[in-house]
Amino acid sequence: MQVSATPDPALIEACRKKDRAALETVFRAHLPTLERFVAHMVGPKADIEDLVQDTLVTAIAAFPGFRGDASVGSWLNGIAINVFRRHLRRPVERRSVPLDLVAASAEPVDPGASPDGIADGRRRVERIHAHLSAIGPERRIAFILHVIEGRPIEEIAQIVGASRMAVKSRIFWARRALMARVRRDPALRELAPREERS
Amino acid sequence: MKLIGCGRTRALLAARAAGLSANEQDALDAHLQTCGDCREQARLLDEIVLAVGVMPSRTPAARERTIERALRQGLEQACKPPFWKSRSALTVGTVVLGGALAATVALVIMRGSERPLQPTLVERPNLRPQETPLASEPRDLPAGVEVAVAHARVRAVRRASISWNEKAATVKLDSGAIELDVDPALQRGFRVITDAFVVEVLGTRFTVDAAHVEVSRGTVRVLAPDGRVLVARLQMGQTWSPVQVAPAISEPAAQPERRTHAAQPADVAEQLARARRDLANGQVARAEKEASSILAGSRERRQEAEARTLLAECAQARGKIDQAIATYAVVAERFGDLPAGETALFAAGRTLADAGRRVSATHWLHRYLDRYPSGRFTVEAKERLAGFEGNQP
Repeated sequence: MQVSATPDPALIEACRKKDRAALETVFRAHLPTLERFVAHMVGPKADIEDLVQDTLVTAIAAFPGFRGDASVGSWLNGIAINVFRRHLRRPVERRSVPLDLVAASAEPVDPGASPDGIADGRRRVERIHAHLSAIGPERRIAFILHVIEGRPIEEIAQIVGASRMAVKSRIFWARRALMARVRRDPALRELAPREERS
Repeated sequence: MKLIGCGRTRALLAARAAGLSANEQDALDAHLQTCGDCREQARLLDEIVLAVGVMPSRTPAARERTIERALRQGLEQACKPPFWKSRSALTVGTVVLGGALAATVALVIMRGSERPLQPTLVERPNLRPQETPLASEPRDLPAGVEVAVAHARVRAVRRASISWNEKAATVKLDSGAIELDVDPALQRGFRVITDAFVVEVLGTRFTVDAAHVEVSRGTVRVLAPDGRVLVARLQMGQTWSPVQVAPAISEPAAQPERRTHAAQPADVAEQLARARRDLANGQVARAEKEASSILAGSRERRQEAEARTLLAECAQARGKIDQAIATYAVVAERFGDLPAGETALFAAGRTLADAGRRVSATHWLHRYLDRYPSGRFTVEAKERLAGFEGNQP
């Protein structure tokens, strides 16, 4: 189910009143985007489902306060970010299931693909997520929203509650740190294609 | 054209997914042609974007479970009375009315907590298709709202009342108008039943109300309720109405203006169609302008995906392969759940293969197969990869 970019005001009003059908409609429309955003932040781990669920539960309670200044999608992303920050404050051992433990069942795998190809792909994803996780959460969030998700700076500033300059600065430092880490990682240098290098 | 330095280039590289103006894109391209370091940055950034984009695929049923659990938990929490209220009620009951009354109050509170505070909301029909093996209860869809039924997306063009049967891939339209986008990948039929006629399709996009059928893409067949074929083939651009004299097919040429059901999406659809025509006729600049104007205005997600894909195709037509790949990567990443996202990921591999960049093409085609093991282009992707392996020195 999908709701258009400018959802029906009556639908939003019904969500504020905790109408189950209306909430379901809005959640179903935004769930794929929300899941993708959460997955970008935590990597392909089993935590995604919990974080998404926590976000939706928080959203139900927070809907009466939704003023409609931002789109529902941006607002849900803002809630997801707060849920993510809370998640980071939990003890590490309670936080995540290692990628290897869930990858086999959770990721689509082509039965015809070579084992080396699959292993390389997973290794690359794991390494890059490890580098991304090493960047501070605020910088990481800004980087993901802008570089990966393609959100404009203004929207990110609204979502994270920071100035445009602060957002730009976070993206700059995140990109710089991530590039440096990726370049230094021999595993990734080995995996990266080289034919276009001058 | 304004020349830019490495710092600005890297900021623009990071902003590609958010969209660059034509001037920024030209400046970026010009710099990348002369700067190996920045090209390396661009390539690494593409790698990161693609890798971060890999995520576990979740089935619609799993998503439904997440929503169901969240709603149950969230609505239960919302229904709970505040802690202080129940406690104070208990205290007042104990002090003023004594133990018997307190017990009564506690009983009332307990009974109250067992009962949903908003019974009318909870008792509303929960229209989850998989929980209704036969036809679901009729459901009102406000204009613009979409529901997924089997392998089709059903969007209310104006307020509509529909019921459906998920297993039979059938929607019954009771009132209003709906637009359907049926995924052709599954090679499975889909039916829309109205009081006056039945529409059968196999992967297409069309609009139905009680009085007409309009096909935006592909072909449909229209039957009478008793199974007689009314129109064997209703093609893209044609409309049909049961009130007209048979066969009552109006050709698009005789109908220069499309009917206006939902002004904005229809306008964007027109723009997209024009851009596609321009690109097919070799008018790349016009197609680019049209696609860019779609992105600048209000549009649906799938229309944004199509517009960005068009921009990638325009870049490809201009011979700007790197720009085309970057744009395809954005579409593949942001719209991986839509057919356009899948197409874009494969198109990136195919474009690189056609350009003779075998290593990169292999990489992208593997990405495609990893993400869409049973996708629409799986066979072609495998054939191309097999071709590379066969031609290895």
